[in-house]
Amino acid sequence: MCSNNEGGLTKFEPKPDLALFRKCLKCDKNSVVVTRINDAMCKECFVEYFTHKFRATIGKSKLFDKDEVVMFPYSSSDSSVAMLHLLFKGVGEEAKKKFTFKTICVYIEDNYVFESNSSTHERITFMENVKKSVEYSGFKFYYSLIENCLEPSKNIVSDEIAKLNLNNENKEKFLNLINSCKNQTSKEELLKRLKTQLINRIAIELKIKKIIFPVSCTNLTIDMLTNVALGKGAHLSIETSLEEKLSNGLVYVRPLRELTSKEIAFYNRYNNIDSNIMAKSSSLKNLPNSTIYRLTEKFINSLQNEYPTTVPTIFRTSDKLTPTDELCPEDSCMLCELPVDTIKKISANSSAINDLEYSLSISRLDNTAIEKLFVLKSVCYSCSVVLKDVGGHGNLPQTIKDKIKSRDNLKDKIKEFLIED
Amino acid sequence: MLHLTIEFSGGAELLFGNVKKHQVELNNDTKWTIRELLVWIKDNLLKHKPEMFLQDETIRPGILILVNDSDWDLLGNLSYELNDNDNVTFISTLHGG
Ligand SMILES: [Zn+2]
Ligand SMILES: [Zn+2]
Repeated sequence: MCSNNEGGLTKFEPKPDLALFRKCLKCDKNSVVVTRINDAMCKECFVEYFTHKFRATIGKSKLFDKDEVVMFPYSSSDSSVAMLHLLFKGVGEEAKKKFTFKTICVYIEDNYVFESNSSTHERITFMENVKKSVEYSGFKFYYSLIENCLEPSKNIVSDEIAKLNLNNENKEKFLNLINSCKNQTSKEELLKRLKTQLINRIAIELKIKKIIFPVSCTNLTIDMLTNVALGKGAHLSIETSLEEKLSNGLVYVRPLRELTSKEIAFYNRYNNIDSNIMAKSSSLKNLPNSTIYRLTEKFINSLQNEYPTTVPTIFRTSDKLTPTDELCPEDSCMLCELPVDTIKKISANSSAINDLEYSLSISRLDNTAIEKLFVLKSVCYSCSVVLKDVGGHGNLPQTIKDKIKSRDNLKDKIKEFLIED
Repeated sequence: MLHLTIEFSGGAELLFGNVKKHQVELNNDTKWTIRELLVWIKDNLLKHKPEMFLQDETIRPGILILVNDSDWDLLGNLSYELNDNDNVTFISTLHGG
């Protein structure tokens, strides 16, 4: 019943006339929801199926040690709201087998930073509302601001909203950096990467090794196809796996990867927690065709509607891929922290780097251009494509620039490249 | 009159002036299906571009429809005929970011 066609053949069939599926397939009640495998269930059986699926994923191969502290970047999105509730239930009295790891949550405010008309007061009120909506869980919550990705010091997170540095120059620098992106896709991709970097830094700051990301099967599939389109193919199997080990010692875990966005929405609805979802007003700017991500989202959601079994099939493809030997784990990308792919060597032929290298060879480069070249040389292929569209590299986080400098002595590296060519 | 409760959640409320619950009354001279209701919502409640809510004369992929907490897939989708006091809920699963 709960099987997801593993081993069996996938049928490329449109969904059947579901009005025929009146009875829950597990009990005698009338069904109210259809899951991705065209199974119709009643409310109680669905919630049980959903909870079981999450617990089975998280219980797999002893992901966490007893009393291990894990960090949950809570974003008040639908999947965050569902995962917080599942974790809460997992440590509650009624849980048959309690989770033995400890959860610490971090909320990063990344909506009001874009609202030019909104006041600091509104931003604080929004965070206070988030705080109220998660209080029932009893988990310890920390707070941060997206512009803290530009904060060079360790002062990036606090357990009190009032102690956050809300009026600082980082906000302006951050907006300058984001607005210097030449198109909406690179803007979106840069934002994603800067947020992940901040999450990593906060985990290190809080001395936590494992981070649990609340991302559904549907969103992983959208990410995966977007990444293919953006030239991140070499990282496909890594970025969708249940457990991902980063070169900096952190481990990402994705316990919602077996559940679809539709299932998550119904779970929230049936537990009366959908009011905890705090929608971002910035999402109104995301017209359906405005970026590669939006277009992929539209495609995957249409597939999920019309051919519900195909989305898990696409997603499972990534499980069948193995990372290429040509990935070099010691050489990780400065922006996404994943191994730099050898395809990057091809990217060296891409016009931006080529032009810069040519100018360098005839010594017509100023310092900003040299900086640009080295930033591009220190990231994976896909991140170099994103960064190519960023106007001022001077606005990049100091932490990234420091890493580049500490890794390579700039001048030596220049010589090396010139000899190589 | 046909009395309906129309709810928006998961971010769909942003398209409707951030109002989550709407009580509406429709003239029931003719029968109302979800198909007609979508057009009515577009003309009467929607505060943003139609493509944020509708696509190809149906709901935008990624927004779910529930009638009295039941999946509209079980009710015949667009051709479900609305009854007095039905609750129709629209839940967006589209990403905010
Ligand atoms: Zn049942
Ligand atoms: Zn990268």
